[in-house]
Amino acid sequence: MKVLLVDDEIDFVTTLSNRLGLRGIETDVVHDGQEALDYVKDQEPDVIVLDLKMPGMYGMEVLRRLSKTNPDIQVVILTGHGTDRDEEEAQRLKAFDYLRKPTDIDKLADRIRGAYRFKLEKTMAAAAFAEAGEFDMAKDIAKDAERLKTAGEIFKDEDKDKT
Amino acid sequence: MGETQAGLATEQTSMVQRTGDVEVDLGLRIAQLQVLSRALTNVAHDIQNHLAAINESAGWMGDLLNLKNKHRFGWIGRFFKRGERHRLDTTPFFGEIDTIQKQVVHGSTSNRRLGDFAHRLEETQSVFSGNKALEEIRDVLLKGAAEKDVHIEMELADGAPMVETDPPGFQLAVFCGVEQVMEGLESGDRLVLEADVRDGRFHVRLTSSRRVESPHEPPRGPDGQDFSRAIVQELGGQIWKQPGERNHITTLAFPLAAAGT
Repeated sequence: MKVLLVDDEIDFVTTLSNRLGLRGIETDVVHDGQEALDYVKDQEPDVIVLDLKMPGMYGMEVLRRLSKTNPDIQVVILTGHGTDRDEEEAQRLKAFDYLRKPTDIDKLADRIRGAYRFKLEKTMAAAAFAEAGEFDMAKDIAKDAERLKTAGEIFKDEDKDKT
Repeated sequence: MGETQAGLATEQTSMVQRTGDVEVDLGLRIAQLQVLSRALTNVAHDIQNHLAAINESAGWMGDLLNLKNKHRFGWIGRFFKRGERHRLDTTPFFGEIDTIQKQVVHGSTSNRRLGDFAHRLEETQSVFSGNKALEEIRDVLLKGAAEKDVHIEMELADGAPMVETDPPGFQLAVFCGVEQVMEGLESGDRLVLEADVRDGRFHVRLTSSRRVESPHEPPRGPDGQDFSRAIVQELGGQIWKQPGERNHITTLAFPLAAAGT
């Protein structure tokens, strides 16, 4: 699993990266939106944990661009600034989840794993249909993220029950 | 006749002048409010980031102590002496870390509400959660209530639909309403803020545990009108005040958002 953390708060994101590493999630770190887009061009991560308020490019703009160019990358928003409107916009742009800082590290790790699992399921299901010659269905699945996102929602509910 | 006309014209000019002054003053006030709101939103965001960093650092210390317990002779083991006699009791450390993280959660909850409250001041007509706005108001009022030793309780309307009105107006109306009631309360009194949805409106009911014998003079606008009443009416809502035998109830009703918004 390849995870990218995007946050301009260097101390915060470094510690976050260390803590996720201890939980078996290796991460790369960049500190602004443009760097994130450049990183994505070179090596496509599975999951991006994205801050919203950063110098240069606002995180929502990064999400907007990614949803057009790399819709398979799952994005978890992690922000201290978020408003209700941001949350709605993130949902509209198909962000996997929207968390507010500070958050519990194990909850974040679970969300990252959930996002990765969702991406895998989506890719595998599309591949299975393609192999069976159901190209239309495969195409639908690849396009229609919401249908399979239910799996992600169930995952989230399980988490809620645990906490 | 000529004198009367001249007098009327002078009065009219003076009224226009006064109206113009009020408009300029109002414009300045709005600009001030917007600047204040943006500044407050930014400060709240910065504080939230600091709290998040503190939370992660404390959590990281906990992670390292856990590592030490799991791998006593690993790389971190060199910080500790071997043998049970010298084994470090980590319980108090975890206790402190837990306290730090709990305080961070409390601080960040209040700060987030303050940030949301400030952010709403920037908006005009919009659709928002009345419950959330009430929670923000309660947090803003808690300190003053504690100083006065008045206990504030809140009962929200579960799953209430969104309210559609001017958010700062909504908050100001409820705030003024609560302040009016609070003025009449004394140490040990109780104030209950309840929200529910009735007759297609979002109702906020303020019930004080004391009958306010000599109601506090409400804040008044330039034309002498009761401020909270004026604001609620301006927002398309209603306000009722019912002094009871042993308590005092103020109800404010606001329009709900149309379905699907």
